[in-house]
Amino acid sequence: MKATNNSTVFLGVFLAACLMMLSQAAYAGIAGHAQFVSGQVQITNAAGQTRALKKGDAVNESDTVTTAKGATAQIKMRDGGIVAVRPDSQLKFDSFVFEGKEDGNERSFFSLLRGGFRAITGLVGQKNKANYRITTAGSTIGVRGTDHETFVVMPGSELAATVPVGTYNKVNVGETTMTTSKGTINILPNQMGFASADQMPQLQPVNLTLFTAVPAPVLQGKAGQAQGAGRTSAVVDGAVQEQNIATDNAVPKNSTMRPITQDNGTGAPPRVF
Amino acid sequence: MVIMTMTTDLLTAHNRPILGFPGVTAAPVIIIVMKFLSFLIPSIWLLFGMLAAASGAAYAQEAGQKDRQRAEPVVKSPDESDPYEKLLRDAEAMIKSGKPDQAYTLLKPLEFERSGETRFDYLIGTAALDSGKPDMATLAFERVLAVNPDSAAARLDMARAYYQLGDMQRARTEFSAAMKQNTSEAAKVSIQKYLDAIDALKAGRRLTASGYMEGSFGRDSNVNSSTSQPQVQIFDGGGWISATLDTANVKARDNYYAAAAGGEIEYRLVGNWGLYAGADLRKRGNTALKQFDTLAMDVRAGIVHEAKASRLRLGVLRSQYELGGLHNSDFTGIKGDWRYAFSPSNQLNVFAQSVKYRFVDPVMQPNDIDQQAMGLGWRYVLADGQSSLSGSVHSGTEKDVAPEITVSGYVNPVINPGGGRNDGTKRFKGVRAGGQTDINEKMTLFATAGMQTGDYSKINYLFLVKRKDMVRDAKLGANWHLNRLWTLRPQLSYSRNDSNIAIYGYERTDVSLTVRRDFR
Repeated sequence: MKATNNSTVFLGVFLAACLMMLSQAAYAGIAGHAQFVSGQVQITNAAGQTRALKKGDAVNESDTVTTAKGATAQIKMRDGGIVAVRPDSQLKFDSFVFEGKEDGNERSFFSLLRGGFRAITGLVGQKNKANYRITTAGSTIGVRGTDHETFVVMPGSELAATVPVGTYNKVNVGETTMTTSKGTINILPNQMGFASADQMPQLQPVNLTLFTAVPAPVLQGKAGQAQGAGRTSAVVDGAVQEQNIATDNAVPKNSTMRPITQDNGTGAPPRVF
Repeated sequence: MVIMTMTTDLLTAHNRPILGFPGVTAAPVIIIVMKFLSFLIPSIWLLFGMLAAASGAAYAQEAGQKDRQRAEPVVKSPDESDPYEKLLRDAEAMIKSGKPDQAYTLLKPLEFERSGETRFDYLIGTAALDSGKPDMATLAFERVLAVNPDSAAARLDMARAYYQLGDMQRARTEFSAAMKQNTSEAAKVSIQKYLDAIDALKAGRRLTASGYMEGSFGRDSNVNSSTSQPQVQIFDGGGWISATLDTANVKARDNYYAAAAGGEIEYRLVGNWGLYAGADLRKRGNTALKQFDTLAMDVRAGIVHEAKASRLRLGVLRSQYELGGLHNSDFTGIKGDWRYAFSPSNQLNVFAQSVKYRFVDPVMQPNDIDQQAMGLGWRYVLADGQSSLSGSVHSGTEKDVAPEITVSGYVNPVINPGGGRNDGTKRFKGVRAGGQTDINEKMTLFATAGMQTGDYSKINYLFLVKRKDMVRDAKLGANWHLNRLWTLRPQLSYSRNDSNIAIYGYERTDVSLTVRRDFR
């Protein structure tokens, strides 16, 4: 009976270990899951099959997420990072490997084919900078522990009429590099790098045509009632705010200081000032 | 602790630990458990392996079966709706009570599941913003605005998040968009402050300036803060006699007008340091009682240190006071004021000052004092951001410093035998509380009330008591923001001093209407 039990245990452990290895290999293919989807967003797998992306859906290596105009999606990556795909964009999740720690084998590679996206990086790329990479037509962006946004304006696109064709990279937090065949630049917070094909990347003023992340209000001015009153006087930025009314902390001046004197010698009652 | 318990309850709602069996001794239980485990462990491994295999197989299968790969939202049982609602309310309460970091910790585990629900997204956004995670806040506000671009609240907080991130261009864009929305005048005033700050930064300006001008008229029931009783009993050395007060020291009412103007400049030096200077001029004239017209001129200057959540000012001040067209007194001193925002809802204010009050008229000079005072205040902003409460306490001393003053024309020319003032040194302490709230888009209602006690050191030789005062005051008013620069302020104020020396007691009511123009 005892021998039977031991055999069962051994067999179970062995089978589980084998299957877990298989499972782990399979799990490595999942880059993340859709946390938020707004508007028409599609996902295309390596086999070219396309379907609507829904909240909770897995996004796998080699999948491409495509957003329509006005549509956005946020993907929660397995390493804790967030990828927000902007409207009218196409982002391919080339490769994602992460086994719960930075062991040197992790990687996160993207190709931005059209439009833009924002990435708040997770654990991948924290230590091994080379393991995180974004490729666009003509340039490569490397990051290490950062919040950044990348935008690609393709030739012939609607935007190309008003904005130079090329890759734009804006950093919110941390630092990125931008590399073309001509060289590499570092981009710091609230800076924007621009790279056109076969040109040395350069820092430029932030282009708000590209990097306005949220849609303008539909109802402007008095024509429509804005929804939500907002926290009008909250000290939300941590900065010290003044009050509208005096705090009256100051000690009041003594307005009642009046001496009283002795008889003034005239026979009249004492003068009181 | 309560929060942790609640969170744990939520997390373990469907996986509660198995409790022990009362009455069963430990040894047999261990044997039973061991036997049970000898069967259970391989079974678990087998089951786990099968599940893992199923997962792998699912991945290996054709993409059409992706439903298996979806991280399915947890199916809600009806009784879970209340805990979730409670969790949101708790998070709101935490943000309101200045604990946004706790609110963020509470909400964060649900972010994946609840993203897309605008109430949740706005809450976690504000929790992130208020706890110093503006990058995460913008992600949440992006979701709110993707669903509802007309959410003025989310847009305003999005702008603030950009401001915190130092992304002034986008902050300006969103503040401007928020300004164009149908937001309240109070909100517009707040937004304008941000826009002005952004403009100053953009221009690289080291110098910022602001000013104001205002005019008032009103009715004051006691323009000279005097007692209403015309006669008092005083001790003349041999006994008590009745003394008639000069009419100037008896309560008198009048209509008045007032005008004031002032301004302040701040010059940024290196780092967080800067210089400030300011001045105010205040004139008040009575319709009939011209002898109580006042003119005050204040100037101040000093250094300022401003970090993210704190603002420290140390400086000197000087004031000249005229009464009835005559130079009455001068005040000179130093003052320090430190404000620190513990959270977006809670702000501490500590202040201290040392001021010399000196009178010009020799008859008044016995009242020369050196005043030292300090206090601290707290301001609490309610979660809707449209209301706030404040309170403060202070205490200090007024040391009488005058030498013996001799004035000719009196029987006893020394009007303050032994020096100092007749009542001696004063120790005082006080409290103050107030609040303000936006009652509609253009109107802010405010109210304050304060009390201060004063205890004097000397027995007043005319009244044979040590003077004790209790000053109380209250103020109620409204700021009607005609636009972002013009404000109309009706105000009612009441003050009284209860003193054990009759001549110092008074009661005063003042009603006024002020129009103010700010310059930025």
